[in-house]
Amino acid sequence: MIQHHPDDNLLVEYANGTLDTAQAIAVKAHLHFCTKCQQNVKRIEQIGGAMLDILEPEALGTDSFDKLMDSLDKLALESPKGNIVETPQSPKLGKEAEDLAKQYGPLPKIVSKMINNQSLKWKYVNSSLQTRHLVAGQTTHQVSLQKINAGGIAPEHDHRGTEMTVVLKGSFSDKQGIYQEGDFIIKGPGDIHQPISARNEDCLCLSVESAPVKLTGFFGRIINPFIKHHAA
Amino acid sequence: MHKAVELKQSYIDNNKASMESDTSTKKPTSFWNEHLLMVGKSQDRLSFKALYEHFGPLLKSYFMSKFPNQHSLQMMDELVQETMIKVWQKANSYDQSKAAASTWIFTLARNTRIDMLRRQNKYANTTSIETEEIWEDTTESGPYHMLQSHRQADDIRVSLEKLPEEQALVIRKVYMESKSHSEVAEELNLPLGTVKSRVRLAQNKLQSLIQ
Repeated sequence: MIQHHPDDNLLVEYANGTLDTAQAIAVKAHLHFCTKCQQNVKRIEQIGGAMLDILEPEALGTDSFDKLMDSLDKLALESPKGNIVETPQSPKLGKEAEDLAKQYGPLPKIVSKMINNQSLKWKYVNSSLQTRHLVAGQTTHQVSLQKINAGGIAPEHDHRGTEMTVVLKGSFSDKQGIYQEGDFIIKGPGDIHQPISARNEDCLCLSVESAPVKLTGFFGRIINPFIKHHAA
Repeated sequence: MHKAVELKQSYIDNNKASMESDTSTKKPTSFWNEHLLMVGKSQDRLSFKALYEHFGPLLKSYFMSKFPNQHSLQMMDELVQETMIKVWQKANSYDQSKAAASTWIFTLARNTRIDMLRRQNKYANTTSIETEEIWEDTTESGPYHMLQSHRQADDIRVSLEKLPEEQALVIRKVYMESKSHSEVAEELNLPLGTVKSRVRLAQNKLQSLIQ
């Protein structure tokens, strides 16, 4: 049962396409698990449709419809399938996404897609936490997968910016609560926490950070300067 | 501050104008759904033309309110064309039990705008992630079915007009001018928290109509 959701403001920004790409990806990954938020997004889109209908119309060029039909006719000639788009098939998973799906069950499509994009290595942050950078075609955030081993304890850390986390598999807890599959968590500066994975299974998360986290434990302070921020 | 007052006035004027034009020309939601289904089923050009004549000028208005004075009118026309091409190409997957025509077209227009912004961003080209993979166009998703009735769309319109001015202004900027909450806060010279709470209040009223 999903307990933690993006708030209405975030969903409104998502559904109006004003959230930046990386954060929108986090919301999208949550939607994969959450029918309640899917419904809310639809409601927002309905409001958008109704608002579109009360805008003051702006005249188009007189021959604009003919031009449009010309473009469509041209498209029909260019492509063997004509100018009609079939409902898209699910893209084939790449090897790495397939392996992860075998291990953790089906992942949100957008996550598999980012894994497909580039094969990068998992890196250890401490003995329980590994992280793998994902390429999301943007420069404002670091998008990554985080994996905490069953029963593992991630380093205690603070946040320099906004961090959105979606639990993709398993669960973790910190002093504030327990987060399970599909949960959407936002942390910001001052939210110091130390995620601990459930004892019975690994915890896999998608994380989207606007700035690198800041390790706060004793060893953390020593390795802090070595944490690199990748945004791409 | 001056700007905010001006905008508010123009919003009120727009509102009046749309209420006046409402009386004779509003077609029921199902009318447009039917046309869209005809385009999907048999590439019916007359239906497509009817859709174009109704939604084209609204779409232009939508794009213009996001990019006032920044871009040429020709570019606005191109964004309208791009959206209508998608309408034609994807009409076969339109499902009226999932969305009214206006909702579906709104999502296509939103995605066209995002596409344009992503084309301008060179980093977006470093991945093969399509806009539709992050923002769906209402055709794909899950177990959720909702018949959007004519009355419902009308209810939303009426209640939009009844929103307190300060909420209506913010909601309009967020939806039609496609501004983030922080952009709205900056433009209206308001604390971000105030913008967020106005959006939430308005959302609650509007969403309660769509259960």
